[in-house]
Amino acid sequence: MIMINIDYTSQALKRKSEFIVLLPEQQRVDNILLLLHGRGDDKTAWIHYTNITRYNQSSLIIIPSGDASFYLNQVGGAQYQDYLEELINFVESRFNLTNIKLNIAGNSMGGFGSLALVQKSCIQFDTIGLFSPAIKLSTEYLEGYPNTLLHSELKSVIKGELKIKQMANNIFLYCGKNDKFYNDCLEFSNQYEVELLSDEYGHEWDAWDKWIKIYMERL
Amino acid sequence: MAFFKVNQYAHSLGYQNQYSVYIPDSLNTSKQVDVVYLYHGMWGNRIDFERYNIDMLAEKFQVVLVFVEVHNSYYLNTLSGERFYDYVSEEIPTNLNRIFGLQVKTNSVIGISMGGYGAMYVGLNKKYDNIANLSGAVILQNRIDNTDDKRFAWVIKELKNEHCIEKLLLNQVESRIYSYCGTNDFLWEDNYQINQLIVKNGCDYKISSDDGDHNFESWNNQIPQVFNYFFGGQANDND
Repeated sequence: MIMINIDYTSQALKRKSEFIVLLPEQQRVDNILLLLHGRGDDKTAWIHYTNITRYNQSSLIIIPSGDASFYLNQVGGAQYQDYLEELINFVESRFNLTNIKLNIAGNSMGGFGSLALVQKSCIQFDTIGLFSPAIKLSTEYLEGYPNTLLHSELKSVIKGELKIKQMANNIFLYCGKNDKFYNDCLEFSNQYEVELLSDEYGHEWDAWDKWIKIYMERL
Repeated sequence: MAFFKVNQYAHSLGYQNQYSVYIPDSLNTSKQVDVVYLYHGMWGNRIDFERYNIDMLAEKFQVVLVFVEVHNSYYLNTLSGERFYDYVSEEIPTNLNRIFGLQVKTNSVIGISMGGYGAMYVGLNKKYDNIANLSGAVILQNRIDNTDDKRFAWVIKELKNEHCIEKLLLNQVESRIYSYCGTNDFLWEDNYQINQLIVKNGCDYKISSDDGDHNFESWNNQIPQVFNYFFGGQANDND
């Protein structure tokens, strides 16, 4: 496994940012996976808490830090959603990858960010991986969350219904039955006819380690 | 700017090692690029050069920088089985092509102290376009004879002609060589001898000196001049 830490000047964030790129040691790269972490974590979480580096066969994995932004453009603040698009373009150019499959996935807040970007962006993603995604953001969930400016936009992530319907077959949706987001995911599953994969786990890394492996095998 | 810190298994070494790559944002890497390798000295690692503002020179001259890390190996294939020469001269260039798709227009190397030896050794053997030796430990025999520190003794089984800069300089050299050593440097004598051979060789060279000692204060003064010597003809003065 090749791990590259990149210090990078982001136009969208208007500051330096560090992100991680993971590459398989031997195999050819045939797709890009933009992998987003959850709230409270940073770019190292997927590497620390799961075995993605061992599961990775042929993806170039980009892992940025989304802070607590929900990967949205913040009113009067950092443009995290633009940042994700910028990273994809930068990596495609610098790593000499064009016309290959593009995937986006994330857990919890990262699942929210994935859905939000897919709906808003002109970039075409081949698959979306949602691991216990925060789809509906209740008042309790947002309590104590510092960027109050965002709250109104946060609650309305599912706006681009058409795009989600079009992609329904390429959405990998997982949520454990003991997860606080299970009912929201079930509702999403019914509404958009997306298969909901599930087991007995709660909102935890054991679950995401198990299911990211299955997701990556399908890439 | 973008600075890539790469952790990757090194086949020449048998373990995961680090190197760093600096690529100016405005540089189009789908075309051939100028690559500059930076060789650290003994007691050092790749971070010695990263801490210096060398990225500003990369921006000015639009070159890719590669910061390698070779322990105290003198950039040689060592007795212990770590093939540092293969690593810096073949494996890393292959990686750069595979990961970043880099196509090389020119190869250059800048080395300090032990890295000055490495720069001459790799640069001459691999026919690099530009070589900068800054206070290099350029006469290996003298280092072997003079050291009493057994930790540094000795990386190779026997000294061959290909290891001796003074022997390599007897051949016709196509590389351009920048050679610096301060008069207060303990390696002044070694460098003086090598510089005589560089002059005699007939290659394109620039020899530089001042009253500097063996430290980054001296090398920091030299490095911008090295870039100017290497790439001065193509500098973008608008920066």
